[in-house]
This record gives sequence, C-alpha cells and structure tokens, in this order.
Amino acid sequence: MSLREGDAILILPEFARLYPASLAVVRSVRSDPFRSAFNEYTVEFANSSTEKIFEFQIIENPLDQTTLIADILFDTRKQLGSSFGRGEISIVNVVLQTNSFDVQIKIIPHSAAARSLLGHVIEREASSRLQNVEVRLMRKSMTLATTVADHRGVFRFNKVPSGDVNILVSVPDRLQRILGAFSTL
Amino acid sequence: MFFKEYGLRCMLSSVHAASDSGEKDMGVSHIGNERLFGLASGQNRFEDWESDHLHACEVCQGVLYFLLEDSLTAFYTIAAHNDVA
Repeated sequence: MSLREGDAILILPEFARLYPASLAVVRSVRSDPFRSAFNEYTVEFANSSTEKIFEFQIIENPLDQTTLIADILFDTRKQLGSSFGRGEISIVNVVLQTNSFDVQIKIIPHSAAARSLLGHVIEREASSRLQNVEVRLMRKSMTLATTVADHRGVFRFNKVPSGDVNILVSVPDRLQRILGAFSTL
Repeated sequence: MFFKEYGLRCMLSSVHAASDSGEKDMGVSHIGNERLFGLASGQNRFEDWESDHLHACEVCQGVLYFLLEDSLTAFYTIAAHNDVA
C-alpha cells in the first residue's frame, strides 16, 4: 500500500476509537527508512482536525466504494466454550455480518501454527453466494494473501498463521467492500 | 490472561531491555514494551518522541513488528490450551 497526499483512508476498527473518526484524508507522508508498515501519515478528518497515524493502522478507502464494517454474528468457539483437548483438531465456524451481507468462514487447523480458511459471501436478500469477488486477508493492514471466490462463490486461503486477522471483501458491482476481523487461533 | 501477559513481559524483556516509561539503556532511550504493545493492540497512541524514535530505531521496530505479527499471542494461547488439556 502506498498512499499519497489527497488519498482517502479508513482507520481499522481496532484503532478507530483512538481518533475523532474512521475516515480521513492524507495530508502528508513520512516514509519510514526500514519498514513501510511504519510509514507515518498526517491525516485530516472531516472536522478539519489532523492526527498522525501509522500505515499498519489504516487501509485505503476508494471514494467510489462504501466500506461496510462486519461484526461477528457467530463463532463456534464462543458458543461452545473453550473446551480444547490435547491433540484435538476442531474446525471453527465464524460468521461476520453487515446489514446486507454474511461472510461465512470455516477455519481448519492443520497444526498449532497453520490453518486453512474456506469461506463464502452471501448477499442475504438474494440468498446467493457472490462469485468472483476479491478477498484480501490481512494482519492489521498488512496483506497476508489475496484470492478470488470461484464459480461456486467459495474462497480459500492456505497456510494462514494463527492470530487475529482482518478480511476485506470487495464487491465492485455493488460499489461496496466488507471489512471484518476474527481470530484464527 | 495473567499467564499471557506475564509471559509476554518475560519474553520481551530478553529481547528489548527497556522500561515501561522508556528508560535509558546503554545511553539509548527506547520505547517501553507496554507502550509498543499498546500501540500494536490499539490501546494507546504514540507521543511525538516515540514516533520519532521508532523511525530511527531498528530495535524498537523489531519488537513492534514482532507484536504486530501476533506471534506471541499465538504462542501463549496455544500454550494455555495445552496446559488446560
């Protein structure tokens, strides 16, 4: 991600509460000499206030798309409690929901550190899976992998590390994006 | 939770010998571990001096990047699960 002056940004939900708003515009860039994740941006909010923020805390916010923040509707780990047994491999189901979309994700553990993710996006009004939508998996704002849902509307990520991740689904024909967060642990 | 936080402190202390308030270590004032953890987890923002320091210090960057990758969270959560089992 390389942002320039004038670009619109969205602060990731986990950091947004520290700032006046989630949406802002880049006013200046301080490039980090070692890691782009630590590039620092001065951003301006709608109320004209400015703040500094790091690249790992934000994603770009295309002006022609609306970003919908998805909440966790269902997580088998929370429904069933954390009853992990030694050596037990438990498949976890997570559902992220916005007003109009559900993102259903199955987390399949292969080892203590690696998982696969299988998922699909459902538009509730149509009750159909969205095909050919781009899905980006991120740690904070740093992209881990990108894929596209196939003709059945299924997307898959392999070798996903354990921990908290963000998922960003682009639905260009609706001019919308879905941003959600969950844990792969 | 206690185990996780305690373990995090122990592991980081061997990597990053700085105090929570940014004490001087061999003449260099690093950013405190709790401040780095707070930034990575969305609990706090950096002061201007902390941002300036981060851009110039590979040690603090290394610790922060490690925290962002969530390796410690994963390690201790898995360890906690194994302890329970």
